[in-house]
Amino acid sequence: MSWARRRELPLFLSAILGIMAFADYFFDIPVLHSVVSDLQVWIIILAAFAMFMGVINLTIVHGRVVMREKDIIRRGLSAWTLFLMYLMAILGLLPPITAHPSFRWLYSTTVAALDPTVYSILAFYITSASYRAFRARNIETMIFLIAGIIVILYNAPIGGYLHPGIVTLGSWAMNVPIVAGQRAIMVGAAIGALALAIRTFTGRESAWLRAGGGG
Amino acid sequence: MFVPGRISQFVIFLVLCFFMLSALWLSKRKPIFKLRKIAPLDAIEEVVGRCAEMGRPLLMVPGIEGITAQTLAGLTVVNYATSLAARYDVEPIMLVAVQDVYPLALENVRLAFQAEGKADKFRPEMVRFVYSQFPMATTAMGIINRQRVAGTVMVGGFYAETLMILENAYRAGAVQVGGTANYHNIPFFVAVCDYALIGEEIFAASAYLSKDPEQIGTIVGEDFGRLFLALLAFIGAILATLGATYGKWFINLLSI
Repeated sequence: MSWARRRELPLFLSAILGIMAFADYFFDIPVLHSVVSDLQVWIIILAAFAMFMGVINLTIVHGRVVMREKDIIRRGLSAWTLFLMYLMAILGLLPPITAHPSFRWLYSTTVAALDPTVYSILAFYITSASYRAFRARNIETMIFLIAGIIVILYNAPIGGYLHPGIVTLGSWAMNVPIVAGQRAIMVGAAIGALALAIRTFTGRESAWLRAGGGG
Repeated sequence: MFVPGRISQFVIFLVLCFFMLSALWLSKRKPIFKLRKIAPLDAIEEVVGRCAEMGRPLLMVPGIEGITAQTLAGLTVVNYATSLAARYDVEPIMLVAVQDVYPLALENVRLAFQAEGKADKFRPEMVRFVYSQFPMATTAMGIINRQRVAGTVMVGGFYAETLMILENAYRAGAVQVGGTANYHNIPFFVAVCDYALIGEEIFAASAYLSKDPEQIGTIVGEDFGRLFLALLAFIGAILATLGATYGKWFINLLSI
């Protein structure tokens, strides 16, 4: 295997650059700060190159559907996707770059409108998932159900009118046990991420860089 | 030399590193530590097996973050699932929402098929790039309902799109393994998935799957690190209960 394709090179670079980023967080060294700032610019440049790969991938996936698919609706939707993707790219490159009125109009009438529309669907999925999660099947789920009802009533305007204690209890649940649980998960995850970094820096972990998953 | 206010953080960082590196060194000398069973990671084979039995695809998402610790943990798990999919002739569909992750994911899927001796079966469209959160979610919903995926593996950094994908897969009858360290999305995984990885469990995936004693050592080191931080929190709680006068020196110490 050529040295450029070996796993050791990206792992070595990850370790060196990762340690530099750690050091920049703790130490006030102007040279190091300048190097790390430059590296952050490099990340943006590399991400821009990766975006080209993404565009190629989308063209391959939807191009094949347009060429081979028998279902006329799927062919049409894929063709529409490709048309809009390239139209947005072309309009975005018109001067002034990403600020041309036609680009802004297309963005604000499609992307900016569709994003919150899709987000709003979440309300229905939360309702159906909550229905299943809040079924009292044993003691634990019963506690879960009662806590859920208290928090829902605390957040709903009617809660305080039904009983003033609901506000007190809901506020306590939101500020004490829930925050304690959240912080425990955050601390645990932060230490887990640090261990992953140490394993990566010491060359023990490379599973994200190759097939198989383990090791 | 130090950035003001970060000396105490650096000391805590060194203590945590000490725990992890010592446990790693101890494990290297003699493998003495064992990991408890992590059911969601064991279940991945079941998920892929079900896809193979039903002849339907496997949907995988390594989160929607860039190259972060959660994404690397997610890639570890989906790499494992991809290898199994290649072995059992299951069609894997991986959705990637961030361009930085896409080349890594594409190369990993290609290598997985190559490692299983099935390089001819690899197709670039197995990894699909769909930029940003909600377009990726709607693409996933479309794939789930059109192709009736029989299993999903979703591990990494997730946000509002989680439940949209999971609920659609639930309705399609898919077996689901998922997990994240984002505390605001853990309830969604626990409520809908058949097997959920909670918080730091996602970072233990590589050690668990490889059974490598040195990697397991760092997991043990993590636990000692957690005990150390719990001790600090306990001291803080006692001093806060006693009053501001008693606790001030402790707050000052941690603010250096």
